[in-house]
Amino acid sequence: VETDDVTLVLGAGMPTELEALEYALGRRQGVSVLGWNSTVGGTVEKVAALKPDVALVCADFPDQDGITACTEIKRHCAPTRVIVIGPSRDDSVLISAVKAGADGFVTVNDSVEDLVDAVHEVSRGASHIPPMMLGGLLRGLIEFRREDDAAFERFASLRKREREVLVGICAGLGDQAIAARLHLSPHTTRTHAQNILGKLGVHSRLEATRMVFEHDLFARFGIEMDGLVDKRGGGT
Amino acid sequence: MSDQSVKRGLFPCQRPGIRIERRRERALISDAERTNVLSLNESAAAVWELCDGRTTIDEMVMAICQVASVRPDQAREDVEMTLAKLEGAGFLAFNSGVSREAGPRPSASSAGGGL
Repeated sequence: VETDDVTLVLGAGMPTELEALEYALGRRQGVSVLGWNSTVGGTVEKVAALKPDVALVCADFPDQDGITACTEIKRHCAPTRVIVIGPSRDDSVLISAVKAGADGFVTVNDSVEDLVDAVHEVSRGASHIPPMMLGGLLRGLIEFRREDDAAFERFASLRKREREVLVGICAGLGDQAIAARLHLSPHTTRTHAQNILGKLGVHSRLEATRMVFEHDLFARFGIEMDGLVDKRGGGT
Repeated sequence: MSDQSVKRGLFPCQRPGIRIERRRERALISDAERTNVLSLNESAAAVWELCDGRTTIDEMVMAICQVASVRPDQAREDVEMTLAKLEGAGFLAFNSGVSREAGPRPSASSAGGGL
């Protein structure tokens, strides 16, 4: 490893992808591959141990997706910059990658030269997004922020009791279990559940749960899942 | 402060019939007769794609700052300059008070996908 080289750890689900990446990047001046792994967990561990400048992760792994790897690397190995390699015709993967904290995105159709350019760009502290995908990414982030604001407002309209019932719903509890924990009747619990769905503007408990986790609503309102505790009291 | 700053509460909207032709790192915006042509870099082309009559300048600036390592004031200046250029070329109008649900969408010919 040359001292000025940008150091890399690679993560990809297919051994052939890894070999191809390692082969292509290993022959470029200015970059050094320190290690690689074909699982999300293994890639995160490698990054934590080797502390590369950049982690290059594919969006597809057999065990989990590469976005999870990105999230975990950003959480546990903060100085390492992350580039996700994903599809060119699906903005949703790019949007998820950026939301997970990715510093760069390269498509599977990009050349090795593009990949090396992205590695250098990202290692210098800049971001790298394929130009053709920038508009779709910005549109996706704007739409998400609008949904986020709407979800926040809708959640804020829930009463304290409704928030407690929602915690139970999100914990996967049935009406009986929620009723027992909150000392309510199952009938009252069902009524609260119906009101919650109406106020959140969703059609099912699954949708409500997805909304809560996607927009991190419990954390934003100081509500803990364990013990159905609402730290701020909140609600009306 | 640029002239665009007075339009922050308005919604930039592509005029009908405007065409966009994507190249690798540039985009050519032109009217149907190709009498007026503007060449935009990748960031400016992305801003053009956001001019759907329901997205504010503030929203554009926030999204750009989320993606690029750029200060909000710098991003705002860039967005406002791009919009001024597009408006000056006659490709863009500013709508007021358009509801999100009913807001106009870009026409098929100008929706940014290239020709």
